Amino acid sequence: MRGTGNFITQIGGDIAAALKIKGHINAIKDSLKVLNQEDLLKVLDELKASHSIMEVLNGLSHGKKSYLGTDMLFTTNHGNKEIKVNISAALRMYQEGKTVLEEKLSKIRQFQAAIDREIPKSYDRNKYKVMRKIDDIEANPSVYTHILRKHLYFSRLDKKVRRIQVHDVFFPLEHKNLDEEIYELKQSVQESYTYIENYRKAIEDLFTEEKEIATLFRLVEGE
Amino acid sequence: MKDIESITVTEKIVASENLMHKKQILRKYTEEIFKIDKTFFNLMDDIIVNEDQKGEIVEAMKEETKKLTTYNRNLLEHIDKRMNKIVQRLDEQVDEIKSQRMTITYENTPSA
Repeated sequence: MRGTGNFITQIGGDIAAALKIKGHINAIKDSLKVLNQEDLLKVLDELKASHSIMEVLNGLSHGKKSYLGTDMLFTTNHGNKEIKVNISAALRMYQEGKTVLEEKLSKIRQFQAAIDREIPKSYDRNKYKVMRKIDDIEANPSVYTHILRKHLYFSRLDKKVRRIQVHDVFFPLEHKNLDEEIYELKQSVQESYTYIENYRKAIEDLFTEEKEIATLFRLVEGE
Repeated sequence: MKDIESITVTEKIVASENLMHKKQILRKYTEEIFKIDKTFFNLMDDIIVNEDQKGEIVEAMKEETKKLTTYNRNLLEHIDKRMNKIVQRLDEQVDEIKSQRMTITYENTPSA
């Protein structure tokens, strides 16, 4: 339409284009409204981080870089040894490792709730069942004549149960929890976080001359 | 005059129920935690590519991995054993409370 010399047609085309663009902008604004502020910041952060990671990866010395599938390997000389490190796997370990540990902590909490439900609460449920039975026995003693019959022989109408008094005894439940073990499990998660940090430091130490490696870890961490 | 007597007996008043299946219910959680640990340590597997090249740092990292793996595995094994004992004791104690002592007071009513 442009360059045809037809002014009216050209203006019409511009207006249509402007309306179309306005429509797109409104659609973008609407979709942004759907995201809350926190989500938006998270998305922006991720974009920034992944862009920076790519820049740093591309900036690494070409001579020491190689690939294994899509993973980037980096070679360093430590002492007289040549060590090949899968930088992509190291970054995955650092990022996904933390997610896995969060999952472990959540599973430990579910386990703790399951112990509570299956052990002390199960004991309480059974205790309540016995207490209700005791109430029933004491309230309706004649219904339980068969108990007396188990201990005394008598013909059908020889004895009439007048009263039953249950001397109820409920000892507290022994070994009702695994508190110490749950504490140890949670500690193991903390130990694993320390382990990830130590692993990160160890890899950074392998590449003391390549400052970019440390930068990469900071970027995946979102510092 | 009524002929009243009493007897004290111990009687199971609620039927027994086997609670040992709870071992498996709880075991499911430790198995899942074990799988998560495995996923976690699998992330470390591919980092050092040429394992034949052993340096001090690489060795230290591998040693730390081994220590943490063993610690986690031993802890879960210990928890499984403790859990079995706890369920066993629960089963016994629940069975115990279902037997109660009671005094039955009855009237002798001799038939003619």
